Amino acid sequence: MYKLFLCLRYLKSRAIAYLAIVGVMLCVFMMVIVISLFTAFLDSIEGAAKGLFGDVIMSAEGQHGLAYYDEFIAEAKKDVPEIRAACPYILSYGMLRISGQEHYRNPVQIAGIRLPEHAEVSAFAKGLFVQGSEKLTWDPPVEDLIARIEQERKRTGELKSKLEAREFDGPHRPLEQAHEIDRIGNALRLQEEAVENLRNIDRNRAELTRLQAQLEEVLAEGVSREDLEQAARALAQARTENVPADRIKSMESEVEKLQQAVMKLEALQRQVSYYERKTYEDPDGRVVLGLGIEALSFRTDTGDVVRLWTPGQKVILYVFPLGRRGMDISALSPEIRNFSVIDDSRSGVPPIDSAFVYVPFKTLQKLNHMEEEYAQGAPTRVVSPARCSQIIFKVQADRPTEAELRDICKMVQRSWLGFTGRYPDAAMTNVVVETWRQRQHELLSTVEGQRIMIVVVLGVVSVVAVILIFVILYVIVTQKTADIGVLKAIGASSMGVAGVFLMYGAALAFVGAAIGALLGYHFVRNINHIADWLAINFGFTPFRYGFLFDKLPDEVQLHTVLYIVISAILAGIVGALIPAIKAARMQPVEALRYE
Amino acid sequence: MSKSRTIVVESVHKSYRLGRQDLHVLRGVSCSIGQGEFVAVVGASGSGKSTLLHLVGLLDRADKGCITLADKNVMGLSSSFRNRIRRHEVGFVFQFYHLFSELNVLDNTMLPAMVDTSLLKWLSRRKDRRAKAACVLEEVGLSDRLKHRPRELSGGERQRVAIARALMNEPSILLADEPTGNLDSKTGARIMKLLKRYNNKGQTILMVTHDSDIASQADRVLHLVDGRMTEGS
Repeated sequence: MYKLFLCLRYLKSRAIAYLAIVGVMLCVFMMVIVISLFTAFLDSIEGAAKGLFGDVIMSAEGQHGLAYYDEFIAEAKKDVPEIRAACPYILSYGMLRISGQEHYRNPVQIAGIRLPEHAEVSAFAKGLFVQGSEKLTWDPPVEDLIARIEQERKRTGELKSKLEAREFDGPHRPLEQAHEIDRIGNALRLQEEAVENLRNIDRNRAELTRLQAQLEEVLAEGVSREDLEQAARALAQARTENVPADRIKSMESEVEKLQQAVMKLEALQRQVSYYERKTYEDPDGRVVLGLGIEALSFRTDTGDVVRLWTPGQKVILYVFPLGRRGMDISALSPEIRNFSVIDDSRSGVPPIDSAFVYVPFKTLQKLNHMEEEYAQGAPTRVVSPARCSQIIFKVQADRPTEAELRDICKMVQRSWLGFTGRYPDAAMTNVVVETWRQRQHELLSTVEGQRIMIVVVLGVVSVVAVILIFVILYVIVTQKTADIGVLKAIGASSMGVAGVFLMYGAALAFVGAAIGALLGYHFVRNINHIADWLAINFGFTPFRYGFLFDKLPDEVQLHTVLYIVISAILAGIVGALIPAIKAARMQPVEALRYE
Repeated sequence: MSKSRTIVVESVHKSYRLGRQDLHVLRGVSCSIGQGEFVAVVGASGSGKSTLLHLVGLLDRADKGCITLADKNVMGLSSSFRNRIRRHEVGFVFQFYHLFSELNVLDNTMLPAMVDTSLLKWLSRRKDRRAKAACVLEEVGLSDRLKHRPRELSGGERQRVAIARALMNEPSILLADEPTGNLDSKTGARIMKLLKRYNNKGQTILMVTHDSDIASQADRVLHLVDGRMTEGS
C-alpha cells in the first residue's frame, strides 16, 4: 500500500517530477503526431502504388514488347482461374508541349491503356477528375465535361474570393498572396476558355445534326444534279425541235425548280462537310493528364488544387517510338501529335502523377510502330504481330497476400511457357512476371526507408524519455536517501523500496503520456486548421508536397495511441530501474546517516 | 519481581572498513534489557552507541556474537524475517526525526501501518488505522496538527510525530537514537517526559544519548567506552 501512497504523494509534491512529465508529454505528443501523419502518408503511398498496376505484371525484357497479348490473356485466364481480369499496356517516353507556349516542354512517360479494361485491373478510375468508375470511355459526353469544369470554376472562384478576403496587413504575406491570386485568376481564365471550346464543339455538333437532318430531307426528295442536267438537256433539245411553246415553258419552269433544289442540296452538303470538319475530334487523339504535371496545375498555400489545363484544352505530344525489331534507327524519329484533354488522373503517387499521361492503347501502339505489320501487296498476311509492353493482371481475391501473388506469378509464367509452344514468335521474347510489390520495389523501398527512419527517430525519442526519467529519478532517489533509510527501518523490504521508485517512474510516464496523447490527438484532429494558419500567416507549408492529399490526414488510430502510452510507461519503468535498484541496495544505516 | 528479558546482546562485535583500515566499533558488547525497562546507553561520540542501536534494531548485522529479541535469536534470520521483526517488534526514533516532507503529520504517523499491509487490506482497515494514528497523535499532544506538514512544525513537535510513528504498530521495543540531541533543553525535557510516560505504560525503551542528564532519567544506564559496555547507576 505504501508504494502507491508514496508514489502519489511524490508525484504531487516533487517539482522536479514535472520536468519528467513535461519531457514524456513532449515525446508522446510528437510520437502521436508523427506516427499518425506518417502512417497515413506511407499507407497512402503504398495503397496508391498497389493501385497503379494491378496485382501481377508481366513485362517483356527489352523495348520490343510482347506479341499475341490478347491471345495470351485468353489462355492465361483459362490456365489460371485466380485471374479476374487482364489487359495490355504500353509504356513509352515523350515530351509534352502546349501550342503557342514555346517555352513549355515537359518530359513525360506516356501510358497506352485500354478503357474501360484498364479500370478493371487498376485503381485508375478512382483518381479521375471527370469520369466515375462506370462507363469509362475515351469519348465522354461534352456536356459532362462542361458540367465538371463549371463546378471546378465555381470552386476555383471561391478559392480566389477566400484569398482576396484575407487581410493584407500585419504578419501576412501580401506579395505571395497577390501572386497566388494572379495564378488563380489565370486558372479561371483558362477554365473559361476550356468551357468555351467545349461549348463551341457542342454548338457545332448540334448545328451539324440539324444540317444533316435537313440534308436527309432534301435527299429524300430524290433531287440530284444528274436530274437537273438531264432536264436541262431535254429543254435544250425541245427548243431545237418543233415543240409547242407552252410545253417549253413548262419544261423551263421544271428546270428552274430543279436548279433551286440542287443549289439548296449542294449548299447543305457544303455546310455539312464544313461542320463535319469543324467538329471532327479524332477518337484516338484523347489524353488523360496526370494531376501534378508541372505548370498544368498547382496547390495553394492551404493545400487546395487549382487546375490550369482542364478538359477542353489541347496538348502536343512528342513520342519517341520504341520501334519494332529490325527497324532502322532513322525510322525512329519523334512522332508529333495533337491530343484533346478529356480528364486528369491522380494515382496518389507524386512521382507518377507528375510524370504520366495516358492515351488510347491503339494510338500509342501506332506512334511506337508496335501495331500489326502486313506483307506488301497482301493486306491480310501479318508479317509482324501487334505488341504491348506489359500485361496487367487483377486476381480474384480482394486482398491477396504477397505469397499468394507470387504463386500466381509462377502459374502465369508456366502458362506463358505453354503458350510459346504454340506461338513460336512469342518465344523470342523473354518475359518477367512480378507482383505489384516487386514491380514497385524502388518506390516501396523508399517508403520502407522512411518507415525505418521514423522508427529510428522514435527510438531516439524513446531513449531520450528513458534517460530523462532516469536522470530525474536518480536525483530524486539521491534526495530521498534518508526516506529510504526510514522506510527500511519501519520494515519495508528492498523490493518494496524499489517498487516505490518503479511505480513512481511509471506514474510520471503515465501522466506525461496521457497529457501528451491528449494534446497529440487534438493536434492531429485539427491539423488542417493549424496547417492553414501556418501557411496563411507565415507561408510555412511543410506538408503540402505533391498531390497525395487534398487535406492532411487527421485520423488518429486509438490503438496506436494506446501502444504509445504503454511504451511510454514501459520507458518510464526502464528509466526508473537503475535508481530503483540503487534505492533497494541502499544500506539503511548509511541511508539514515545521509544528509 | 524479575522481568523477562526482551533484548539480550551477547559478545557482539562489529567493525567497519574505513578506507584501508578496519574500525573495530564494538568489541564484545553484552547486555540485557527486560520487558518494560527504560535503558539509556551513554558514551562519547564514536563509542559505538548508534551502532549498537542499529544492530538491536536489525538495521545492520553484527560480525560476531548473538542478539536475541523476545527470546528469538535474530542473528541468522533472513532479510524478510528481519523486515517483519522491524515492522512489528521495533520502533525507531531518530535524532533528526526523518519525517517525510511530502506527507502531513497524520500520514507520516500512519506510514508503518501501511508498510504492514496490502492495498486491499488497507482499504478495508483504513478508517481504523486513521483513528489509531489520530489517537497516538492525541497522546503525544498533536491532535490539532494532523494536517500540517513537517516543515510547519517545531523541532519538539517533529520529534513527537516521530515518536507517534514509532509507536503506531505497537512495537515491543522502542529504540531512540539521541531523541533530544537536536532539541533545546526545555523541549528535550518534554520529550523525555513523553518517553517516560510510555515506559510507565510498559513500553520497553532503549535510548542512546551522550547527555548524562537525559540518561539519568532512564531506569538503568549503560556506559559504552571504546566499544566495551560497563553498567552504571
